[in-house]
Amino acid sequence: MRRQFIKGSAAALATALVGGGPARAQAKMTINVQYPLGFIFDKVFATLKTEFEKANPDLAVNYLPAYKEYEDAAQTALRQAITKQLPDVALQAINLQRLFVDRKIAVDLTPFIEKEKDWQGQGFSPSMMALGTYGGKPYGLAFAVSTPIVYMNEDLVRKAGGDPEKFPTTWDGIFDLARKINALGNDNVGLFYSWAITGNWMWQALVFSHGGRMMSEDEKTIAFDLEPGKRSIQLLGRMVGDVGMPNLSPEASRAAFFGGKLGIWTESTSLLRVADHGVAGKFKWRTARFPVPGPDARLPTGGASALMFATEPARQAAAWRFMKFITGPEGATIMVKGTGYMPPNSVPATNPAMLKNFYAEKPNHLTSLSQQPLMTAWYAFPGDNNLKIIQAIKDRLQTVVDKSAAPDAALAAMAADVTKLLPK
Amino acid sequence: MAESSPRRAGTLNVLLLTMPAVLLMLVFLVGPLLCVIALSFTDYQLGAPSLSLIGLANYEEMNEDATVRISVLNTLIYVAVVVPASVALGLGAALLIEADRGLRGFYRSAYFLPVMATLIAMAIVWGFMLDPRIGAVNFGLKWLGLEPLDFLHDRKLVLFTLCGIGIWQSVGFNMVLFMAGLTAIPSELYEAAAVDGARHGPSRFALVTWPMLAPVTLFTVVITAIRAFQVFDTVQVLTGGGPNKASEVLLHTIYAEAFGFFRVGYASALVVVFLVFILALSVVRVFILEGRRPAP
Repeated sequence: MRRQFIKGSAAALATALVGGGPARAQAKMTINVQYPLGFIFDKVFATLKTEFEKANPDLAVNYLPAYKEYEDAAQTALRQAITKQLPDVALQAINLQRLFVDRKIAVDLTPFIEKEKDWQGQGFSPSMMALGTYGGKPYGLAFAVSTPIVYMNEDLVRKAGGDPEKFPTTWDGIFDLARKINALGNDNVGLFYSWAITGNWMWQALVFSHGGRMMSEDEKTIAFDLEPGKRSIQLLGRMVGDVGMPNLSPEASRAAFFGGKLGIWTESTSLLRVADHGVAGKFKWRTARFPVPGPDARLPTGGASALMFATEPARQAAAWRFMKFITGPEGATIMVKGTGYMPPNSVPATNPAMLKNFYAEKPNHLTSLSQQPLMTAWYAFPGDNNLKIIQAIKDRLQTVVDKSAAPDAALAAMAADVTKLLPK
Repeated sequence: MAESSPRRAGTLNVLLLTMPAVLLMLVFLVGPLLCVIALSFTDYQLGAPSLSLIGLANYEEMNEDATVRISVLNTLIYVAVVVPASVALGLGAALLIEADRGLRGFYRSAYFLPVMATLIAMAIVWGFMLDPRIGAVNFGLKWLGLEPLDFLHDRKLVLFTLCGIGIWQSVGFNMVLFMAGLTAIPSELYEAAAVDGARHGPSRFALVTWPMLAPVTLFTVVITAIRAFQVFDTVQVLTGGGPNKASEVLLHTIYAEAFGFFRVGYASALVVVFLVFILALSVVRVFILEGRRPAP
């Protein structure tokens, strides 16, 4: 009796195994993807997943919990690399891709691109590919790019006697207007400069817009402590000192603007859709160009790139299809409509069915596009201490904003800190 | 020869019998420690394929590192506040609870709860309670007609806020240690003291309780100090060392260097410094406690 039972179950097991075999082979492959900045990207990636799975029925996309910020994204992924828990595709800050290339974690995309027909024709222009190319080899596909812009609460600007149509293009003009908004009372804040974004991006924006650079051409010595840097740090000091800019956390500054209490807010264009939802029609707002005192002004290109971390050929092939989708014309259209970023892909902006009409209806999104001629690389510091350098810059900027150090002293200290961390 | 052979067997036995313990100690305690000390002389980056010896460069960098200076100072302040306060409050609680036999069980569990609760979870609860807008603590302050305080984002306040949470967490543990010490005091001593005229609380305490509790007190102080040096959970969850390093403490700096910036070599050097502090405390404990023990 018992033997009968054992035989029977063995047979059942065998059938299950044999029967299950082909079924398993046909099962969908799931690719793991991780992206940062959930509050900006969550909805976009949900749509991307739906559309991608519709077009690729043999693949499923699984999102790992979103990285908090860009630095956190890089740190987490580097830890994942040690514990062998990397996702197949990760979205990383454009200026932090280098970490993964140097450590041989990111996969060289050359063989995949070679198999594609008319790569450029799909909108992957040389300028887009340059954002993810290191040592002549493509590693990252730029997914979303941004520049810093000015957000203004039109109601507050008007109340303070300003004209949103003729918004000041100089910092002096902005400071005057901000002081008038402060004077309105009722907890209204004139200006907040989001200095803390990814540690050093808004600092690069100030220095580049004054015609400066982060390091010398040969990347041996720092250059942000020269004249343009001095003017930049003075400007930050004046924002806190003369204009009374409060020391807000990024969350608090968003809440202040969305609550109608913040008049002028310099932020990344990436928050446009977040602002649409946050303000929810409570007041009129619009965007203006970031002041560029020059000479030879530039603005850093913020944003994220898709990197391939998968190692097995089958997974790599699947990962490639996802990367190509999200950075291609269709993915870029979804991304732009859901955020405030600009599309690195060149197809959608010219195709009326994709984004041309969208831009006609959403003038706020055009501000950053109009700054495109000024765009330059988001500088990545050389060496292993890249992340620590970003933290050192952020720490010193903070001393200016919380008034614990004089601007010039803070800049000198920042220069000393960063010099120590550069490769010797 | 005839005499030395059993002695040699005895030595062999000793070696054999202690070997498992010694081996385990080497593998789990001494080995990792030596690894950390060795790493502190290298530029090893977490996950990097190679490393090179750089001598004392990490220690030299540490010497000039403002963050480390702030971090050590903050840690010392934290220890200096938390240890006396939580030892005194722990002793007070133990005395009060011992005095009232009725509700002793209830009080004992109530005071011990913070020790048993996971500090990370409790830190999140504290985060809510201390929130400047929706927190219960500021609600209480406003009700009393006081200005609300931003406990976790005010540079001057944040370290002391964390001290408060640290005290809250360790009072219960110290209380239990003191209660064990109290029950060990023979009641004859109190009777003898009463005969000698010490009938009231303060004099009984000064004459009998306090001297008899001295070894327990020393133990409690050292244990609390070691635990206070190890403050990390609350900092990581509530402040991340901020604002602007105002709540940066040694363990958090080590964590950030090793797992945030991947500078394992530098972090190892910091660990060595940290171990020196802990070792000094342990040495104090061993010497004073062992020194007190009457010779056999």
